[in-house]
Amino acid sequence: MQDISGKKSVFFAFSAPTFIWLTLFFVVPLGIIWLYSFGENVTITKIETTWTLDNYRRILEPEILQLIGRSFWLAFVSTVICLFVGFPMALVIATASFKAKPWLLLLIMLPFWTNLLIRTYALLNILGTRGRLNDVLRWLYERAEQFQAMLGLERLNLLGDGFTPLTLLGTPAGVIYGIVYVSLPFTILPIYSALERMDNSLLEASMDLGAGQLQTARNILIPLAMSGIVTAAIITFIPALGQFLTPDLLGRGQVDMIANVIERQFKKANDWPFGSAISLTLLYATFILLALRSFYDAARSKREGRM
Amino acid sequence: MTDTIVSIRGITKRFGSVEALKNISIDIQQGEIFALLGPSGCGKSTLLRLISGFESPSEGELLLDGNDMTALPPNKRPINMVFQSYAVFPHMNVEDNVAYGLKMEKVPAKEIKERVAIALEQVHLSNFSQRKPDQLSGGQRQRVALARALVKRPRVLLLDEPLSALDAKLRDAMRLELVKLQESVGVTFIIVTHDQAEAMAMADRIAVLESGTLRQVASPAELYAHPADAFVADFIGNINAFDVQQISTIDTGVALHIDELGVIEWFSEPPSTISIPASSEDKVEATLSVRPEHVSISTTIPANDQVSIEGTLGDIAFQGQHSIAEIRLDNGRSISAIIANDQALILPGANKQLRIWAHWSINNMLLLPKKAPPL
Ligand SMILES: Nc1ncnc2c1ncn2[C@@H]1O[C@H](COP(=O)(O)OP(=O)(O)OP(=O)(O)O)[C@@H](O)[C@H]1O
Ligand SMILES: [Mg+2]
Repeated sequence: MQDISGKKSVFFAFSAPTFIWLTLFFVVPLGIIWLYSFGENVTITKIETTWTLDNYRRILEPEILQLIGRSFWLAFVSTVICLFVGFPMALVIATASFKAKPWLLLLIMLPFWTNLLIRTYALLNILGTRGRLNDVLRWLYERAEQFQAMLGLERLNLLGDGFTPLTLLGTPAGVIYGIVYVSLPFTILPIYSALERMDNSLLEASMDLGAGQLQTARNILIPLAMSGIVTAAIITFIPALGQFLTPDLLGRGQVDMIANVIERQFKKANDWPFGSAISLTLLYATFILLALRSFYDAARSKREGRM
Repeated sequence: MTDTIVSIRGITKRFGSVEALKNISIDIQQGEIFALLGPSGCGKSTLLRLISGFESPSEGELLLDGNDMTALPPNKRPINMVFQSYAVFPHMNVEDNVAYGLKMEKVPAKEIKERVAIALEQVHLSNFSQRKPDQLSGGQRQRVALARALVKRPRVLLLDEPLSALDAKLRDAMRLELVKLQESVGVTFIIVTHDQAEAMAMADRIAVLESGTLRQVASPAELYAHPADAFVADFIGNINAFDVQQISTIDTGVALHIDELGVIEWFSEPPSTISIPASSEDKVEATLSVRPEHVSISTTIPANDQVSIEGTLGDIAFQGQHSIAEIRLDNGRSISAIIANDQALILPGANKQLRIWAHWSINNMLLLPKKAPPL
């Protein structure tokens, strides 16, 4: 075969669509946002780029900083939970029989084919004070009460005065629940692919040398899956940071994250320059994270002595 | 009588509907090198994994020093394994790899250091202790796996195709080295291999497996001289087999009727695994064989005391120390003979259609059943 990239005309013919696509849908909008972020509203609909830094300065105001802090915190907690829940699930899939594997993977991917809005409304139904989750808890409570009565221990009042439903909607816990729910597939897949690639005889060798299951997981499995885990953490954390629908619906407007603030600037507040500045700041934060990741990789391969 | 260390008793292993091992019983002696030999898929690795504890038998039991260990998990068995892929931990250096098993045993740090140093010396890797596995050659990685297992002072060391990933030259060197190592540490080795030369060169005893059944257990010399059946004979070295059509009893032994060789008088008891049919109509399941190394070829009619067959000279393959000549029989079959290179040099090519005689002494022939009942 001829080296097609060597021929200039062919090269342009093939790269033109990509180039146009990137320009139209990525470079241009981002450039506009970038210009806006240094701009001021002159009229309700007109923005002039005056190269002011005010928009960025306003991010440093305590209430915005607090929101950013909360976003990072919620995204961080969600990511940690996702890792703890996702790792065992990835392990189960990676070690499943080769017949069961595609089905398990399908189950993980299935939510992607359902609209996020619908899924989030479904969660509302589950998490509400009169939701299904509380129905289950109430049922458990009543069984426990009956059991207590059966043992004749009512006097001790071990169970409190009555069932108090869990309030999840409008609380950070509810929002975290929602973020974990939408992010979990992103956590599971990279870990799964790292575990899948691992040579099973390494784990067997560890057991053979006298390690138990937990020791093998700690000494061999997790260290060798680490790059998958780091990828999973980043790929979970970044979208979690920018969550919009989940805090909006499950947070009931009481647990806003950065994206909600950005949305408000573009809509209600009609302060596009400020919205642009926050958006870009979020983007920069993401870049920094990705840069840290590649530093980690470089340091790791150096530590492992690939010279 | 030496002591039995591992006793495999009536082991059957099924994977779903596949019967990977069928009622296998073997006693392995303390301090020997025992080889499990057989073609691909015959169940060698499965047997090894049963002994190491990674698989549990569907039926039967495993004894170690006379105690039942069938239910013991791998990390509780004083048996270690060198994996076919070596399974050296890629994120640990050589020293940490070797120390791993001792750390799991909670051996004091000072003792670990000493024992690791000794183990690395045994496998000539003392200078490589700080290297990561991806900075080692295949042969070195294998030594790490070896040291890592031996440092645990196991009662039995299992090796799954230990030499198959090495190149031919290194393989020969490692064969010798493994045997020397085994002699110096005195640990019982159970080696899985599909290479009969490897098994013959290293093992004290060999078990030949075929599709899940045990065909024969014997020393290499015994296997070579007295194979149980044509399968074992062909697997241990090569044979030129001639089907026996009829056996009849004569005063001095039996007469074997063979289409290609005529009637051959066999002056001793045939093996008990060959049944002599009552009527000449019945099919005989036996072969008379001769190994290529016992076959000579000549361009003149051989002496009368030799068994001989006439044919056309076929291709000659140069093998290094000797050559293998193909003799095309008139019925279309071929047999082979190992001949000296000097002789090979003066013989013409296959296109010359040279008529020759292949001949051998009857004492070198093996009268074998086509298939002996499994042990
Ligand atoms: N986990 C398993 N599940 C199902 N079948 C298996 C499993 N392990 C082995 N087998 C089957 O059992 C038989 C014996 O396999 P085994 O790996 O022991 O062969 P082997 O003698 O080691 O062959 P090779 O020389 O190719 O390594 C094969 O038919 C194989 O397909
Ligand atoms: Mg095998």
